[in-house]
Amino acid sequence: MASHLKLEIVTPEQLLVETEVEEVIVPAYDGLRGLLPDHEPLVTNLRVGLLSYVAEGQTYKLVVGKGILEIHENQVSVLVEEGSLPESIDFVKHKKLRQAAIEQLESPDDSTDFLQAQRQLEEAEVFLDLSFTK
Amino acid sequence: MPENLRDIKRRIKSVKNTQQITRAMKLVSGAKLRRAQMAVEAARPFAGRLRELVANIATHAGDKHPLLAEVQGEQKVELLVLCADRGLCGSFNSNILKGAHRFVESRDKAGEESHLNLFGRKAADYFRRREVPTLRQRTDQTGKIGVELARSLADELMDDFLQKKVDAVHVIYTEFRSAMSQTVRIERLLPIPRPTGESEIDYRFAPSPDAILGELLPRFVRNQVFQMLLESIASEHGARMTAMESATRNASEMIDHLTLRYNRARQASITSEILEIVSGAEALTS
Repeated sequence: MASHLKLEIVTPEQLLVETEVEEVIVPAYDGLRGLLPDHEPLVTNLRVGLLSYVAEGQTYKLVVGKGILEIHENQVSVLVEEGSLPESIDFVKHKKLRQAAIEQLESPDDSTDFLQAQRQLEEAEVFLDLSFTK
Repeated sequence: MPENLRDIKRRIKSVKNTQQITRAMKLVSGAKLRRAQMAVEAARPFAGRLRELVANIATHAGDKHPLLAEVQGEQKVELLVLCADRGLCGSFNSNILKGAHRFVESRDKAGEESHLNLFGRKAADYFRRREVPTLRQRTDQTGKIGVELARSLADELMDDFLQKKVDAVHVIYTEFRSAMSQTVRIERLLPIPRPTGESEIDYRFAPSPDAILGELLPRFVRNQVFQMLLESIASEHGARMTAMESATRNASEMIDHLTLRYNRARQASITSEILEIVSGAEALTS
């Protein structure tokens, strides 16, 4: 029985986290999911939200964008579009994204993609909410 | 033959000016290359993981996903050409453009349609001059290369493919090896080449494998495009740096050569002046 998981969190631009952890909690598409060592092989979609992991008794938190998670043989790979520490969220950027989405939804023109705008709005709000969590 | 001293001097000066420019360009592309190289390397883990994941999952999900479906024959092909906006980077642009042109011509000969999707002003100029029709083009965007740009490019390509406007999408780009060595490559982006080998891992999928693939494959394609853009931009800076370095070296050689000629000419004129004086003086004394 293994006592650790190898966690890797990567975004298209960089490798964010590579460490040994005791536990990971991820924002899966259907709710939070906790992963412990010796988890069965699993692939699941992730939504925007707060990911936390416990390494050497310490809890770390990270806000992640949409992505996918894969675990097998205690290897956890988290592939997400973006990720940042709650305190270093780009507040201005997400505020702008949110504003842009609202404008799109309120005064749509021919090029408006409603689903996309709605999603953008939701994602920006999650990021904004989480930027205040400790 | 006595040369005009002033002319040589003027030429030396102009070569020196050129050298200053090439040296500055070399330094600038060196700095940009370092950044681009770091970006390429930082992006590799994600691309690698994603590729493994697609390989592992595709075998579970069957052939159902349209992005994976193999087509019989490629009657209509779209070619994405990744090129630079600016020149002065050695054979970087011409290699890509020659490759792309050959691709189009060979498809033409085979009686197949090919549509060009151009990235970079040099590519747009090249095919406009040769009156080759293009489907789309993007110019002056090499400064904005990032996830967003890759996403919009990839989504365009996937749209064309899924709406059956084309049977396949290929990309021609420059793979970055080092500042000195870059290779032109043509790769098929869509349909996604079927991963070989069976995966032994018995995954549980949440939700279904098909739903996962539905999310994963577009992401994979976007990331492929992103990766190729990064490779291309790093190659461009590498090629420019190398080209500017040899230009600077050539300018140095030229300056040395001209300086030698200048000195020789100066010496010749001094000698002839002395001769004149001496013979003048001799004429007086005798």
